[in-house]
Amino acid sequence: MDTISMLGLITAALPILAFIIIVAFTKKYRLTSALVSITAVAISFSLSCYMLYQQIIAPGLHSFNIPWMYIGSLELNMGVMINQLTTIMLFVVTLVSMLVQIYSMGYMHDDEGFSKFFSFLSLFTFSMLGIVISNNLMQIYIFWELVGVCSYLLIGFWYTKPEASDAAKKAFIVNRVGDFGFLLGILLLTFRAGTFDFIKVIAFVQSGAIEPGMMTIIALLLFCGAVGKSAQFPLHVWLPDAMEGPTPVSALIHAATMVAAGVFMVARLYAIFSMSQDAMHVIAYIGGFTSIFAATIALVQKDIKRILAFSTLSQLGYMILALGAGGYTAGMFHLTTHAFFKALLFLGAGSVIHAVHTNDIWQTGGLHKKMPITSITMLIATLAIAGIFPLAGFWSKDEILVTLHDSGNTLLYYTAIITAFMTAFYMFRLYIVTFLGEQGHHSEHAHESPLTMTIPLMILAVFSIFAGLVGIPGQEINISKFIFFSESAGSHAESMNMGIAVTSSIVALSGIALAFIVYFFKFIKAESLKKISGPIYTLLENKYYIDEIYMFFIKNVFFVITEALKWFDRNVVDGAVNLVAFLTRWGGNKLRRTTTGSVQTYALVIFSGMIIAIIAFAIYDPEALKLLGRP
Amino acid sequence: MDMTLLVNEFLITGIIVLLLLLDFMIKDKKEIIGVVFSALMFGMMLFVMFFNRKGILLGGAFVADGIAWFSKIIILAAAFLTGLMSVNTIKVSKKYTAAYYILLACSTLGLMFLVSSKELITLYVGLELATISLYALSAIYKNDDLSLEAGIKYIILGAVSSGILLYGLSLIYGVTRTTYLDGIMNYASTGLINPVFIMALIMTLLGVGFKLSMVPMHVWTPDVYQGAPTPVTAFISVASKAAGFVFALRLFAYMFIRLDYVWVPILSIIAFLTMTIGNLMAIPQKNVKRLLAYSTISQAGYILVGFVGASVIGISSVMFYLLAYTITNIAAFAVVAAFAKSTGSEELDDYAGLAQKEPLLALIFMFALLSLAGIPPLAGFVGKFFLFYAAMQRGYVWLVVAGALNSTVSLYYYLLVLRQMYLTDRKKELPKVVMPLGIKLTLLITMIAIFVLGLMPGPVLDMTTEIAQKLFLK
Repeated sequence: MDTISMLGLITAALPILAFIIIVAFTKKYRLTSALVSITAVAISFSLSCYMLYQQIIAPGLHSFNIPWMYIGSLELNMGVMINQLTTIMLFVVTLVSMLVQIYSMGYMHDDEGFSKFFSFLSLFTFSMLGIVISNNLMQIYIFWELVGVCSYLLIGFWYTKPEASDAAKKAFIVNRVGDFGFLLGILLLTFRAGTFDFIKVIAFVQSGAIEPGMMTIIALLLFCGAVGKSAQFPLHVWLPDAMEGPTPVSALIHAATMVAAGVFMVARLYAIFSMSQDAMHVIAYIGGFTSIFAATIALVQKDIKRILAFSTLSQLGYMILALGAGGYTAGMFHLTTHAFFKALLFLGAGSVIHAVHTNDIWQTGGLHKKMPITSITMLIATLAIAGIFPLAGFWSKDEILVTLHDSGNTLLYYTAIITAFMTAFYMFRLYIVTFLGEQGHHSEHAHESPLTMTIPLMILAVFSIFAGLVGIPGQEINISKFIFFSESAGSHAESMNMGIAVTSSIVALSGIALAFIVYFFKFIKAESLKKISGPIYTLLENKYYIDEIYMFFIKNVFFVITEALKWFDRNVVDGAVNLVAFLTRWGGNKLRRTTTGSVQTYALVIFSGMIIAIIAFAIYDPEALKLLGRP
Repeated sequence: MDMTLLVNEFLITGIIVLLLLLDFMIKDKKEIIGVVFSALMFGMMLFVMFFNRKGILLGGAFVADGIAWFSKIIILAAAFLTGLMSVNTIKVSKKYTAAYYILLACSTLGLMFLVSSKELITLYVGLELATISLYALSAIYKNDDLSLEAGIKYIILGAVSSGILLYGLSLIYGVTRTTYLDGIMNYASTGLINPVFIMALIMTLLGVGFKLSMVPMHVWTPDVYQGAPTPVTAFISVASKAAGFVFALRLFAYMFIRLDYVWVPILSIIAFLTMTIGNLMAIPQKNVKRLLAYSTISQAGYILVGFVGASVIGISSVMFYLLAYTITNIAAFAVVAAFAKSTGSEELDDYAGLAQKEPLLALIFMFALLSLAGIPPLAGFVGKFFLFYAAMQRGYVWLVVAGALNSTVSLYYYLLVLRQMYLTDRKKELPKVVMPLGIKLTLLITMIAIFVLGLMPGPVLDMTTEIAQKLFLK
């Protein structure tokens, strides 16, 4: 075990230590709990910085394994794997988590569950760091599930709100649907490779030992996990609802943890995904579809957090799209820059909500004068996400567009361009309506948030401006060289493609211009836009009715099956009981008063089952049985 | 003949006699008998754990091997924890208190014989001794209609299943002319499939299936689990089921192992039906014990998935999961028993707001349910993972897909319970939950075990793997 991997272990272990300390000792002392949690993550952050620095001057792989259990010939380890990709993620996760925690001291100040909140945040950070440092499939799966559990706890934190408790349940279950595919993928892969270890599995896959069809299935099953965690269509439904949790949690989920886990996993196992071109295509199309699909919904929402939630969906789609199109560097780069400006946007939104006590952007307005720091930092983040030169978002978005352009898929390229236009438009719609324009009736008593809340905003604003500079093509220390996981893992533009840079800037600027025309100068009335688009507007406002479709399916198919079974239990079985009761009225039989099933019916079930089994065997065909599995 | 191999069974018999005598000696404080019972069972468990003699007795009819040793520990642990949670919890009149524990000891004895026998008659006698005691235990609340109903249903359906089992066993004898498992295995290994023998195999499987609450033999489960006193339900759901699975292991992973191409496909279908029906039926349940009853049915389905592997990994994960399941299920039923004792209710709706009133009890219930759902890092996760892995190894991908889907579905109704406890406000005033010391201890022990097994499954898995390897070497 070398120093770097030891440090990696400590980085991940500190937050769980904080969790234990808070739960066991400091629960009653609010401030102490918060300080314990923040101190732990701050040390983790410093360690991450050190590891990042070490990786920059001397890139390399550091790892170690602790045997956990053996079963048959299968070896299961717990371990740490630190390379360039890991350190970038560690840096992002610990930084965002630290800032969110500092911010929470102000935001959650009056909440009863203050200590509990910090303990959950620590646990959440720990689970995410666990995913990041994992060196094998089993370990990543365990932490993957743990992240799901933590999100359940945090989204449902204000459990007295029914929306919050529903959203928490939804997040957990929808994620489990994705995890189910992920687990199958892991099982299939491990079964073939005979090991869980990333490096060995990747070596095995690259040796071409798995036939192409199987490879595609495995890659798509693994991708299911990312579809769940990174909220890609069709499992995106949990993310917009997840904003029912406290805003700092939304910031953490949307920026650096949870949703980032899916993208990170695809990047970590990129060598496996890139073995199947078909799977890569599916990934790219799902990403592309999610990005434009979510962007259209974001155009018409009026809840500030909901707009941001759909923009997260859209940006995640961007990253997945980039990864699927072969842009390993581009996807990870965008994940990094996005973490900063999305955290900033959510924390800024939290600051607004804290001041005006409403989520509806139409009830606010003119907040720029009242909350200058929030307003300016939000403006920086909005410009960054819109992809304006020279902010962070410009560089990473440009990288994605170049990748798409080079991949030669025009459809996906134009999807991304249109999405970029819509992003600029709806983000400025949010900004203009909230901060500029006339004062809304909730804005009167608004005032700037305390320093614990604004300082994290300012730090994130700095990152939102400069984080992109590491990715400028052609310089010596460059993100592309840095996070290359393996030689064949992807491409990176060697020099800037001026044409694309100009195109994307024009698209973004025209989106912003349109937003100003409609919402600031009001040359075109927003109302008339709404009227013209008519049913489309309603469709978008209702998020394409996807939730309703799912609920319809669950209610009409799933529950019908269970209700039918229940009906059988209650009616056929109980009907028989009532009949028996009627016939034995004089007997004073105990059975008459039974509330549940009758023995006769049960015996009937048993004997029918036996007869079916025997008949099945009488006509049994050994060949048919082989269809069920290898004999 | 090395009679010391039977020392465990002799000691339990001694304990039964001792409890009978105690009943005469103690007039008032009958709970003491429960305490003595639990203490002795705990002692027996440690004794079995460390006095690990291996050997064969009675011409191969009785065997002390790894499987017997491991499952006896599970059975005694279940008996110990059941006794512990019964003290001051069961509402049996003074007259029958001693009988309750004596019957529990008798059932334990029967189960211990069952897991040690390698001969059909001994197997059957052990099985009946264990089950007849359980019939009486289910109906021991004489003034409770539900309990009586449970007892009657259990007896009648148990008799039906015994009939099927006996018919199957006698067909086996008729074909093979032997009642010893070794002899039958030799016959089965010749590779000649006699249709009568296959029919015997199916009937034996169904007969054993009654104990496992395997579809279609599961029908008795919800009614009996709901009606029986909760600690008895816990015992039936773990000890009796564990012994049933060991019986099934002896039959299928040993005796019929050469016929695996026959029974593996059948079991794969049954495993699928068992977990699916169990899970789907659990969803609409309003009574917590009924809900847990259906959940145990689905758990049996998962364990059968491990059988489908018919390999070292499969059998070792079956044994591991049995242990994990035993501990987790006892924890869940202990919570139900504690809640019912103070509030008199087993309705899911009455669990509303439990987390505010009884945060610890709710937390424990949450961990137990999450472990049943297979959420890491709890005991249920590792076990389930390897059960699925074993089936995957044999090529039963569809079954693993179904299993994984099922565990997603199961999460839904476990979350329904959590939602009641954590996210719903209390609708009516219920008395505060007062936990007797016995239940507190039960919960403490099971919670520690759930986490230890989940975080450090290594040592136990090593043990079960070794045992499974020995089974396959023969």
